[in-house]
Amino acid sequence: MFGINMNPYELLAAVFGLGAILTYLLGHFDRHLKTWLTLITLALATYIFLHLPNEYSLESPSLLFGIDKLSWLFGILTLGLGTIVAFALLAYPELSPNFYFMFILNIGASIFLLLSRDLVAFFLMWELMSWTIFAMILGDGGAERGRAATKYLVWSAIGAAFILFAFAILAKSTNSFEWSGIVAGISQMPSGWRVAAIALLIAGFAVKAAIMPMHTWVPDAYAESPHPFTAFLSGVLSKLGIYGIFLAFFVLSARFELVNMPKIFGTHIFGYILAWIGALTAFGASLIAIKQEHAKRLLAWSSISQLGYILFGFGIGSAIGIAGALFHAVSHALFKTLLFLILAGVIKRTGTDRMAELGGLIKKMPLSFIFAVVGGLALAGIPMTIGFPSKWLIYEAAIHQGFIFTTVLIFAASTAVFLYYYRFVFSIFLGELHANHQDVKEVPFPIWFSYILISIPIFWLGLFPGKAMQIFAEIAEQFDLPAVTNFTATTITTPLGSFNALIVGLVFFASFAFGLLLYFIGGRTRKVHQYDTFLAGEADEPVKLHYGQRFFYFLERELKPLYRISVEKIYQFVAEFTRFVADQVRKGFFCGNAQAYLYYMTIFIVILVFAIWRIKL
Amino acid sequence: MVSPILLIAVPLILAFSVPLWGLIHKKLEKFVPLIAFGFNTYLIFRLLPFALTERTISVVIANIKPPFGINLAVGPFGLFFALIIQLVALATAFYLLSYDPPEPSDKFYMLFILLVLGSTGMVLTGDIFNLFVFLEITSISAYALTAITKTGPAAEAGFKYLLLGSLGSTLVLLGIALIYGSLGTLNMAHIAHRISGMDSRLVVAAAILFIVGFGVEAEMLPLNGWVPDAYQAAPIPVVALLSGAVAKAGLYALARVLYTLIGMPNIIMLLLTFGILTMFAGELAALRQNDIRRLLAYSSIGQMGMIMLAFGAFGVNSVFGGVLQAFTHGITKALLFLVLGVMALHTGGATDMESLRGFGRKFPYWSMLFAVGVLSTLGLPPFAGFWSKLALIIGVIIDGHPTYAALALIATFIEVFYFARLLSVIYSSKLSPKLVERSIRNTTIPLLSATFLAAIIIAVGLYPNVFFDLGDSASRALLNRAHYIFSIIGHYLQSMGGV
Amino acid sequence: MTGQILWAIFMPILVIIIGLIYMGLARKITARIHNRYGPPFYQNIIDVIKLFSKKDVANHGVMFSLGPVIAVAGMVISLLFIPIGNRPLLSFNGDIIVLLYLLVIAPLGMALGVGEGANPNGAIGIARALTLMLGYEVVLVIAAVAVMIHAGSASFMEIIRQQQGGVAHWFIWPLFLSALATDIALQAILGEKPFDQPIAPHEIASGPMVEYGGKFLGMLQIYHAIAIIVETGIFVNLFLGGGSLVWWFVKSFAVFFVALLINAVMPRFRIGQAFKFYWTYPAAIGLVGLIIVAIT
Repeated sequence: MFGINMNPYELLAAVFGLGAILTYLLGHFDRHLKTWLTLITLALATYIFLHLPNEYSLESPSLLFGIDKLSWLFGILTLGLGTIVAFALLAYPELSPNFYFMFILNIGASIFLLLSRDLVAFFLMWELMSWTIFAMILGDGGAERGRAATKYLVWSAIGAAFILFAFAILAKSTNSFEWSGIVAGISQMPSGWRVAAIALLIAGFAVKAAIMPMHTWVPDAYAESPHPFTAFLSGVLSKLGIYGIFLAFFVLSARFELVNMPKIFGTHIFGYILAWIGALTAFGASLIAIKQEHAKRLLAWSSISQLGYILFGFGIGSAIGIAGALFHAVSHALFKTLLFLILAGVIKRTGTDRMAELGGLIKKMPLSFIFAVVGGLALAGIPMTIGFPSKWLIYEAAIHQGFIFTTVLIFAASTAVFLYYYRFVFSIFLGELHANHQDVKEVPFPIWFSYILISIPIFWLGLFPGKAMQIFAEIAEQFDLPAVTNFTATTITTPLGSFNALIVGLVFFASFAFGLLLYFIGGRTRKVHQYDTFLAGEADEPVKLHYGQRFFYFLERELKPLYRISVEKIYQFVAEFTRFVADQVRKGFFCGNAQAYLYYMTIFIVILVFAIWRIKL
Repeated sequence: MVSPILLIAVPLILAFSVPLWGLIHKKLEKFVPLIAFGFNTYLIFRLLPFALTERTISVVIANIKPPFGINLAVGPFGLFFALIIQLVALATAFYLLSYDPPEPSDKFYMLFILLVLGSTGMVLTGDIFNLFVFLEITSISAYALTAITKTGPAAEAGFKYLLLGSLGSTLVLLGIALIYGSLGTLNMAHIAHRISGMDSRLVVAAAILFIVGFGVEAEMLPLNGWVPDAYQAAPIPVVALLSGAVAKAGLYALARVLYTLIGMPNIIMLLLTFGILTMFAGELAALRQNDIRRLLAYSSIGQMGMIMLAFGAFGVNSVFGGVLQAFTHGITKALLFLVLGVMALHTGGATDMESLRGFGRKFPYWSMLFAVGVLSTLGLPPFAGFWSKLALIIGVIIDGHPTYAALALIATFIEVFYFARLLSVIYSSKLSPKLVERSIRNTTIPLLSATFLAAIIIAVGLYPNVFFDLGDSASRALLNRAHYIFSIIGHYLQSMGGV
Repeated sequence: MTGQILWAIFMPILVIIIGLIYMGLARKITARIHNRYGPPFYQNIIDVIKLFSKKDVANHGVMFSLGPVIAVAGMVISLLFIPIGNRPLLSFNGDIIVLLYLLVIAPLGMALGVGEGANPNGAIGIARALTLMLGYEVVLVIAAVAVMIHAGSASFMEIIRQQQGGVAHWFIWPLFLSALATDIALQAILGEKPFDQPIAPHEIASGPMVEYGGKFLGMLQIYHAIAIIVETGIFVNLFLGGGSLVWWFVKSFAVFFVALLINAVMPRFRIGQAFKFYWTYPAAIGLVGLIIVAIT
C-alpha cells in the first residue's frame, strides 16, 4: 500500500486532510455518517499521534515538526476531548457537513500547531486553527452569530498580528525560523526587542487564551457557537493560547536574562505583571459570571476566570506555580468540556439556555444533573476531583512566593465560583420544573456517555494527582525549569503543606457512610409533589415560584461600582472613532468629484517636490 | 526558446481580427480573447523556466541591438507580472464565453484584448518610450471599457478615469522627455547605466513625474479617486482586469522605473509612506461600505497600498513579499469580482450587502469560492494569500521597517472586520427578498473560470515552492540593477570598452 | 493505629454531643441576656432525638434527602482534618487550604438538597448564604494567608507547634489584626447576628431549612453542632495555640461565647450591607495585618 512508506507526520496530515474532505463529501448522504467518519478520522489520528517519531522536516516550504512531552500532553487533551466531543456530536445530526469539515480541519491544525518546531509552521497552523473556529461560529446562523463571529475574527487577527510581529522580530534578530535556533540566539538579542517580542507574543496568545483585556470576544463567541462545539472551544482551543504563553514565557524568556530584571517578592517583574493580569482576570470575570442570565455566557465568563488562574500560575513561575498552572490547564479542559456538553444537552432538550426559563430538570434528566454536579465539584475545586489539586498547587505557590494581594484576589474568585456554579445548577436542574418541560427526556446516549468518558479522568486524576505531576515534572525537566519532585501517586507535598488525595477520598466515603447511617436511623419519608411546599401562608394554593432570575441581585447592587469598570468601553470608543474616520475617508476623500481628484494630484506633486527636496537637496 | 514577442504580436493580430470573426459568425467573436490568452498563457509557461533564473533576456526587434533599437527585456520580474496578467486574463476570457457583452461587441472584445496586451507590453518592454506607448494602449482601452455600457455612471466613471489617467500619462511622457533630453537614449538599461551622470535635480523631477504618472494606474493614494467609480460602473470582466492587470502593470512600471532607472533608495522609500497611506485610505473607506463592488474596489486600493509599502522597503525580502502579494492579490480579486458578477445575476444587478444576504444558503458552491477569495485576501492558510502576506510582513520587518509593518498590520484589522462582516452577511440565515433563483443562463462557464482561479489559490497555498522560487528570482532580478544593465547592453558596453 | 481509628470513630460523636450542648448553652445565654429563663442546656440533644423519631417526613426527591447526608459527611471529614486537643488524626494529609475546601462540601451538598426542595425561600436563603460567603471568605483568606506567611507553613500541626510554650506565644499577639478580622468573619461563618441573613426566620422562614423536617432537620442540627466546633476550632488552632483536649474545648467555647454576646444584642444587617461590610472594614483590617506580616 502506498501509505506504508509515508512518514507518520505526513500520514497524520493525510488522515486529517482526507478525513475532512471525505466527511464533507459523504456527509451529504447520511445524517450519521459524517459523525462516524469524524470519529474514525480522530481515532486514526490518535493512533498515529501516539506513534510519532521525534522529528520531521519538510524541505520546502521548509517546515519543521517534532514532538515532545509538552506537545504530547496538549495533543492528548486535544485529541481525547475532540473525540469525546465528536462522540457527543452523534446526537446532533442536524449540524451541516461544513461544520464537520471545519471541525476536523481545526483539530488537525491544533495538533500540527502543537507539533510545529519552527515559526512559519506554527503561524500557519495557528491561522488555520483560528479561522476554522470563525467558520464554525458563523455556521449558517443569524445576525447574532454573524456579529459574534466577526468580533471573534477581528480579535483573532489582532492576536495573530501580535504573534506575527513578534515572530518576525525574533527571526530577524536570531537569523533563524526554528524554535531551537531562536532559543539559542535569543540571548544575543537587544534586551528591549527581546522584552517587546515576548510581551507581544504573550499578548497575542492571550487573545485565544481569553485573558483580560483581550477577552471581549469570548462571551459572544461562546454563546453563539454550536453548542457541542463550545465545549471544545472552551475546553481545548483556549488551551492552545495557554500553550503559546508557556512557550513564550518559559521557553523563550525564563532561561534568558529576564532574571536580570527588577524583582518584586522574589519574582521578576515580568512574572509579577503576568500574575496580576491573571489574578485580575480570574477575579473580574468571576464577578461578571455571577450576574449572567444565560447559562452559556455564565460558563464563558467562568472560562475566562479559570484561564486567569493558569496565567497566574505561570506568572508565579516557581516549580509549584508551573505545575499548578499546567495542572489547571488539564483540569479546566476536562471540567469545562463536561459542563458545556451538559449545557449542550440541556439546550438540545429544552431549546433555551436562559436560566430563568429552566428549572427542576433533575426530575427529567437525572444523569445530566449528576454529571453537572461532578463538573461543578471540579470547577469549584472540591477535593477528590481534579479541580482541587490544580487549584491547591496554585494557592500554595502564590502564598509561598509571597504574592499576598493576588492570592486574595484568586481566593475571592474561587469563592465566586460557588456563587455562579450554584446559580447554574440550581436554575437549570433544581427548583421547580417548568410547565413546558413536563415531557423533557434525558439526553440521548451519545451525550451522556460522553459525560461518563470525561468524568473518569476527572476522578482518576483527582484521586491520583501524582500521575499528572509526573508528566509536569518531565515537561519542566525538558525545558530546564524548576520541577516539583516531592510527590507520590496520591500525595503532593509543597514547602507549605501536603495533600493526600486518596486519603481525603476514602475518608469522605467513610463520613458519607456515617451520614447515611444517620439517615437510616431516622423514620420513614413520604414523597411529596413539588408544589407541596411551605409558603408561610402566603399562597393558599400551589403556585409556581422558581427563583431563577437575577439570582444575586442584592450582590449585583453592591458590586455596581466594580461592574462599571469595563475595558469594552474603550474598545467601543476606538471602534466609534474608526468608524468616524472611515466615513470621513469614504465620503470626504473619495468624494466622486473629478475636480477634487485633480486638486489631489496637484497637491500631491507639490508634496512630492517638497518631500524630495528635504531628502535630496 | 519561444520568442516573447509573440506574447504581444499574436494578441495584437487577433485583436484587430475580431470584426472578421464576427463576420463569419457573431458567436465566434467571444472565442477570440480566449484563443489569444490561451496561447499567451501557454507561452508564459514555456518561458517560466527562464523566469526561475536571474537572467534578463533581451529580445531584439528589427534586428537593431540595444541601446539603439527597440527591445523587450524579458526578466524574471517582468515575467512574473506577465504571469499574473495572463492567468487573470485567461480566467476572464473564459468567463466571457457566457457573458453578454455590451454592444458593440466586436469593439468590446477588441479593447479587451488590447487592454491585456498593453499591460503585458508594459511589463516586458525594455524601452521607456515603449513603456509609455503600452501604458497608453492599456489606459485608453481601460477608459473605453469602463464607459462601454454607456450608462450615466459608466460615462462619469470613464470620464474621471480618463481625466486622471491621461494627465498621468502626460506626466510620464514629460518625465521621459526630461531623461531623453539629458541622456539622449530611451533604452532603460542604457538610462540606468548613465543616470548617475545626469543632473540630479532633473532626475528628481523625472522621478516625481513618474511616480505621479504611474501612480494613477497603480492606485496610489491621492491619485486613486477614479477607482471606486470605475470598479462599480465597468462590466465585471473588465473590473477583474483592472485590478488583475492594469493595476499590476502600473505597479510594475513604478517599481521598474524607480528601482532600475532612478535607483535612489531615498526616493524609493517614499513608497513606504505612500503605501501605508494608500492602505489606510483603502481599508478605512471599505469599512462602512455597503456595496460589495465598491467595497472590493476599496479593498483593492488597500492591497495595492500594501504592495507599494513592500516595494518601498527597498530590500530583497520585502520585495519578495511584494511580488507574491501582487500575484495573490491579482488572482484573488479577479476571483472575487467574477463571483460577484454571478451573484449580481441572481439579484438583478444589485451588489449591496442587503440584497446578497443569505446568498450562501442558496448557492453554497459559489459562496465557497467567494469565501476562498476572502480568506486568501485576509492572509489565512491554506490559501495563497497566507504565504504572500506572511512573506510581506516578515520581509518588511527584516528589511528594517518594523514601524511600517506594524501600521500595515493595524490596517489589516480593519480589513478583517469588513470582510468578516461580508462573510457573515453572505452566510446569514436570513434570506434577502431580492435573492430569487431566477432561471438565468447556465452558469457552468463562470463556475469553471472561478474554480480555476480558486484552484490556483489553493494549489499555491498548499504547494508554495514554485511560487516562492518565482518570487525569489523576480525580487532578486528587480534589485540587481547592475545585472539588468549588463544583460541588456553588456555587449554594447564591452564594445565601448568599459563597464 | 487502632487507637487512632477508635478516636476517629468516637471523636465525631463526642463533638456532636458537645456541639449540641454548645447550642443549648447558646439558647440559655441568649435568653439570660434577654432577661428570659430559656430552655435547659441539654434541650438540643432532646430535640435531635425527637426529630429522629418523627415518622412520615416530607421528601422532595433523592437529592433532597442526600443534602443533609452530605452536609453531615462534609462536616465530619472537615472535623477529621482539624487537630483537636493536640491529636492530629488526618491533619498530616492536608493543610489549611485543604480544610477550607473540605469545609465547603457540607454547605454545597446542603444547598443542592435545598434546591430540589423547590421552595423559593430556600433558594433565597442559599443565595444569601453564598453572597455572605463571598464577603467573609475574602476576610478569612486574608487572615489565613497572614498566618501561613508568618508561620512559613500551611500545616495545622506546624502552626500549633510554633505556638507552644504559653500564652505569650499565641499567634493572636503578633497577628492581632488578622485575628480580629478572623473573629469578625467567624460571626458570619457561625451564622450569628448581625449576619444571620441566610436563616432570617422572620423574612424567609428559616431559609434553607424551610422544607426540611423530622430526621432531615435533626441531621441539619447535627451538622450545625459539628460546624460550631470546627469553625471555632479553626480560630483556636490558628490564633490560640490549640491545647490539650479540655483546654481546647474551653478556648473554643470562649470564642463561641464572644460571638454569642454579639449575637444577643445585635439586629440583622440587610444582606447587601453585610457583604459590603465584609469587603470594607474587616478586609481593610486584615490587609493591614497581612502587609505588616509580609513586611516583617
